[in-house]
Amino acid sequence: MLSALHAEFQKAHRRHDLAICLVVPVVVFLWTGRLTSNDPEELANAYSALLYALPVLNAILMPVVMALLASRLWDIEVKGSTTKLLYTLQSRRSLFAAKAAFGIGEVVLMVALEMGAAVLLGRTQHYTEALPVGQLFYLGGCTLAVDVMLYLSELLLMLAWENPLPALCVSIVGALVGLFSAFMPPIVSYFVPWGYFVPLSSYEVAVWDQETHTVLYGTRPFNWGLLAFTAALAAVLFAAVWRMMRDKEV
Amino acid sequence: MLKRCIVAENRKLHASPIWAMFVVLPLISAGYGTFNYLQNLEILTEQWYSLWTQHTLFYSMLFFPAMVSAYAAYLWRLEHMGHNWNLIMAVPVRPFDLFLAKFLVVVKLMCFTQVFVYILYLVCGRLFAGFTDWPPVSTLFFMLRGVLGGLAVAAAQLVLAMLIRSFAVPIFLGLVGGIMGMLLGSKGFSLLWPYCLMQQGMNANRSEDMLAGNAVPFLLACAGWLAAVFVIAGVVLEKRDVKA
Repeated sequence: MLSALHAEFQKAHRRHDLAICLVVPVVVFLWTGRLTSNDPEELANAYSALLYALPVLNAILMPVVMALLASRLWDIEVKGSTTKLLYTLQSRRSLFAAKAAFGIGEVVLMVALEMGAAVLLGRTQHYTEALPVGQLFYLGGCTLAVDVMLYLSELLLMLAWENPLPALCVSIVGALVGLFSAFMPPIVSYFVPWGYFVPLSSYEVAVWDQETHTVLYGTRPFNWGLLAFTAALAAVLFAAVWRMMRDKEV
Repeated sequence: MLKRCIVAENRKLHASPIWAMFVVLPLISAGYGTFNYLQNLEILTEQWYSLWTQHTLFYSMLFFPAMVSAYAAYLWRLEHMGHNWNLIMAVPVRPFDLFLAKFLVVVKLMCFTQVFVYILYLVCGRLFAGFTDWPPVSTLFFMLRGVLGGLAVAAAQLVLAMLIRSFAVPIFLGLVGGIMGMLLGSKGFSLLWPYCLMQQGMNANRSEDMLAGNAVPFLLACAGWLAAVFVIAGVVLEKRDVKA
């Protein structure tokens, strides 16, 4: 397993995966940084606004990013026609474990950097609201769960078609559907896994004054049920990916 | 020779999964746009114009660049396989013709998509929103301007897909380009970034014409960005060594 993981690191050499993991927090930093002004009232509510906006941004970006990571990880084998070699020279279990561990490791890194970018944004823009550490960890956990679930679903598509196009098409369409589900009645969002970032969010708009453009955010209870369902979905997809890799014809 | 290149590129699209995205993405955008319009009739009072903004807002800002990126990456993917770069650079065709053929095929797909978006807008307006009249001619111009603005995006994405051997990275960069375009557009720098041009042309986020009195700078920016990307593509294809 360790040697297989080492091989994945070697394959990732000069593939610039780290840059991809870094681009996402940078985009989030630039995008959300634009949302806040220097108005004292807004700064007093700024972390809430940020943690409300992040899941929507994730719903747009993450499906495509997860397809990108899955594609980077498996396309190298497709292009090099190395699958036959790998399936015969090493155990399928170690190949799968290495791919899954490497991909999930990248997802963990990306989520950690994203959460770090949120804290950094608060520091650089001098938010006056106290950092809601518990909410931030909950958001990080939810983002990680949904990201891993999406990553495994994209890896499954990559394995099934041996071509990144279906996975990427599904991710783009998924991002669009996920984004739209955020603005639909809440029940709709439960049927759209690509947009689970939004129903899992614990922030909501409490007061919206259209005339004065005043928005106040409130919190709602953590959605443990949906988080557990997301984790279960990720586990099912994990099993499905393993099964597909195990049973694939050489 | 260019004609033969175009025929070859068209052949790659036969029975391609790309058509699924071509159909599904505008359909979802139209479905959601119409639903949102019908839910907010008290705010959205300008009938066909309001429906246009709902149909095209997210599409033009975020998903059009990603979709065009997928078209472009798909057309270059075959060249990145095996030793195909050696093969295509050795055929008796001007290297720039290879790029131009791909560009024209992507533009064809882009035009089809835009027309499909407009047909869906028309159908949803008449059938679901209950409009009894026809949409204003200006919306037709919005659609055409979107195509003009999209030319530079298509060319830029083809260059990225040509230079980056990965299929997925240019698509991600297209999405990031769209997001940057949205941010720069909101600051008033629309003409300085190619991904803004399509958003400006489509007039997707307000009822009044964003280009009123500014059509000439818009057209110049479209032509300028397109020319700049063509020059880059030409230089890269002529001077850069093949890495196969």
